[in-house]
Amino acid sequence: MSLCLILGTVWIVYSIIFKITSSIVSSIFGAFTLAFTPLLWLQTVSAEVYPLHTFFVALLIRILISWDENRDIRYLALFAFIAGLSFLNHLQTIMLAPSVLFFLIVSDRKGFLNLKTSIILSILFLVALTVYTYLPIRTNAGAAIHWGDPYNLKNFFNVVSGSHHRSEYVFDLTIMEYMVRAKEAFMVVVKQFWVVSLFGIWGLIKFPLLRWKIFYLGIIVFDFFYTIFLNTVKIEITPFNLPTLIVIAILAGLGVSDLLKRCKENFLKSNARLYKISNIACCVVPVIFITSNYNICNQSRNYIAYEHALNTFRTINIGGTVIIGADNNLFPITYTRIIERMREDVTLYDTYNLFFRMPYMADNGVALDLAEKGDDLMAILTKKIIEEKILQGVYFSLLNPYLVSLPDGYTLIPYGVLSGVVNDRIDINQKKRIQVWNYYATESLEDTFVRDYMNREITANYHLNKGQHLIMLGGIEPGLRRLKLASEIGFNDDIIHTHLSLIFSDFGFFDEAKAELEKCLIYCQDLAGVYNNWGYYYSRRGEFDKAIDIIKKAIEIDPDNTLYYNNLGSILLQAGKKDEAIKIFRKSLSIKSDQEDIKKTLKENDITTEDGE
Amino acid sequence: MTSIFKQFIRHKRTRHIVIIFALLVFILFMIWTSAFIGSMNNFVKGKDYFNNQQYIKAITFFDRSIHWYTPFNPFIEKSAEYLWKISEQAEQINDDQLSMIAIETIRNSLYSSRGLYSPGVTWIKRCDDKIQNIIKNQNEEIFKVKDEFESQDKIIKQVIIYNDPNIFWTIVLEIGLLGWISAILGFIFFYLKPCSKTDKYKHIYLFWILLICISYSLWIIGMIKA
Repeated sequence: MSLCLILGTVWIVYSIIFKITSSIVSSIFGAFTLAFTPLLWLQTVSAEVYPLHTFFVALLIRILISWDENRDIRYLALFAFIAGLSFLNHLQTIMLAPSVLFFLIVSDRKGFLNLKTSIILSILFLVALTVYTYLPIRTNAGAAIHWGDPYNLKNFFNVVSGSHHRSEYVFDLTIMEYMVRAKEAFMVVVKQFWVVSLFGIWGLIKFPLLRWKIFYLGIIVFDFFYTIFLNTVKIEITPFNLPTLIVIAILAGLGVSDLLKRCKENFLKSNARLYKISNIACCVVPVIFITSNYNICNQSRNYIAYEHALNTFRTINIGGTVIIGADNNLFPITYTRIIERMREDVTLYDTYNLFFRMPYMADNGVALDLAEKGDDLMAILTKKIIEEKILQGVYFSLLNPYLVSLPDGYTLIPYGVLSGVVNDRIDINQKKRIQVWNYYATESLEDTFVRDYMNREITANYHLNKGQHLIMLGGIEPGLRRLKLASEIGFNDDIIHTHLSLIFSDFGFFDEAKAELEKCLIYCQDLAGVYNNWGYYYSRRGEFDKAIDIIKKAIEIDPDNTLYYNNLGSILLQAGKKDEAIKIFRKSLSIKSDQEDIKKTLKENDITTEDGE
Repeated sequence: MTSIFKQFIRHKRTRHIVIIFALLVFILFMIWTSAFIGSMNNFVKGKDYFNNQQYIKAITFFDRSIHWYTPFNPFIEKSAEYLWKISEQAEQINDDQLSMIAIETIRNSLYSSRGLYSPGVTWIKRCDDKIQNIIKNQNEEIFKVKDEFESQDKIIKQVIIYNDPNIFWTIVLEIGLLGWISAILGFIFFYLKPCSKTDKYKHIYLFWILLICISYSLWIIGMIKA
């Protein structure tokens, strides 16, 4: 389906350029260059919303061109209906609105603002939006996936408006962070076309009609606005720049057409062969794109997500339970469970409460009489699950297991690609724990093709777990090699570097730990967390003063995070500064009172808390 | 016969129909061939690993071979047979985990090939029975020690929970949605045609409006029932 939609997009872009220029060569140049840009090409091998989105964007531009040609209201009506359908697929369609409205008003104000036309267009747009009725209907019919539970009006509106998932990452970065995003977004576009972008600029300059120039520029500007400000997901992960690519491809086609015309005027009489060569050269450009991007886009050996899901299930005991966090873990497991019905004896819970609902939760996401205001709900639910299911085995599928809050008496140990929950009453089958690695599917994970960010993260995490496992078995050298490979593969991944820095510190590889922490300073947005980990590193080295100083910096940045207070308190205790430690622990308890482990620590040190415990 | 065909393709419209049909057949054949070759290559690799007694690698490639499902493809059946063989051999050496992985692989990969029909129903039934036996045996071992036989039943029951969409109503809803979109496009191009505002065309508007209503209703009913 993705391939068909991208082919459709390329064909429409070809027809747009041909419509404007009547030049086959320019059309081939623009459309095929677009087809083989890495960002668009990769969409043909992914199951995402973007192929349909690019198809709709290209189609809407094409319809607008037809309308501009003969001002037939049918094209405008078609535009309104298709825009509605596109809106259903991706909210980013709204970013076309300013350019389109400007274009329509400037081109035919009377016609467009006429009451009858406005009513017809509005009705058709709204009619397309009625497809949203599938949300409550399918939710009530028991569909396997019903993100946001849109069966009542409030939830329905939250899903439709995007506020269900978008409220968390809109306009919440600093100016510097937005500048970095802007630079990244710009570089993504430049890296798609390289020198061909210059033809795009030339095409824009030479475009005969000003309103079309502004229309195309508007699409690019608002596309960038959406990419930079209305999202905080890594730009490498989300291909929001696709509409910009379409516009640049169209403009590049126009630019080439103009240059070829000039070439014809200047050289045709004197040197017809040169003109022919320039035509052929234009058709060869897409071939350069094919050869240079083939390795990036050839994902025929990529079964990483599938292997990750297989390995996750192969780790779990019969009747076991796994608590899943992070998209990279959740989506492969969701596919394999719902489509392939993998390991139906295993109980799944996802921490987002999206597909595999946490127990004791109502459908609207509210916990049933378990948590009081201010309590850590996830910790309460996790405790309940662990206590009830520990016999058959409870596991976590997380990228950052060090952040898990476990009930008293339980600890988390690395268990294959997962983390297993253990307590002193459960015998761990060490033989099985070691052998689990022998049952893993590793063809793609061990392969060396080009990976995108998400695939790099899974692969790096696999090597990280394997390295940790080898070192624990005494294989220092192969283990270290794996850990370094994980760092190399996840080169710009903050979670991987953070996890590695902790592992290296734990095993006493301080040079490697320092190198990872330095990478964390570059890639992690959470500076307080990085300082906290530096503190842990210094404390493992026995340099307590440095550790104390740097964790205090973390507290300065994030003064409400009890984790930092608790770590500081522990280090102060280790450094023999008991009085200071007491103050810090009390401060931590004043922020969050239900910390049994801290109360226990205070008790062990013969100190009473302020509430007398 | 040849002259009828010649006459048929002489007309522009019918010639287009023939070209489109031929293209579709060609594209379908290419897809089928590509999937068939994928299945065959993976089966060959799987067999090599099987012969070298590298069973996990063999499972990976037999799994991929079945995932490249195509109708009339003998390698699907052969891959399933090899996977079954791996499971039986694993059972003989008491490697329950390998046995379970091989059986699950047959089941999962056949489920992944479901579409308008479900291939390998007999295989899936065999796998379900075997999985239940493995689970039962393993649980007996676990709960013999822990003395909690009640939980054993709970685990086995989870295996047989299915919740698939109904195929017939899924087709109805697809037809309904595509019909609705087509009907609206038809309505736009006929109703909004500048020269068509006469009584002569009234029945055409009614036709499109009726088609929009019927297909929308079909879509809604399909979604409720599917």
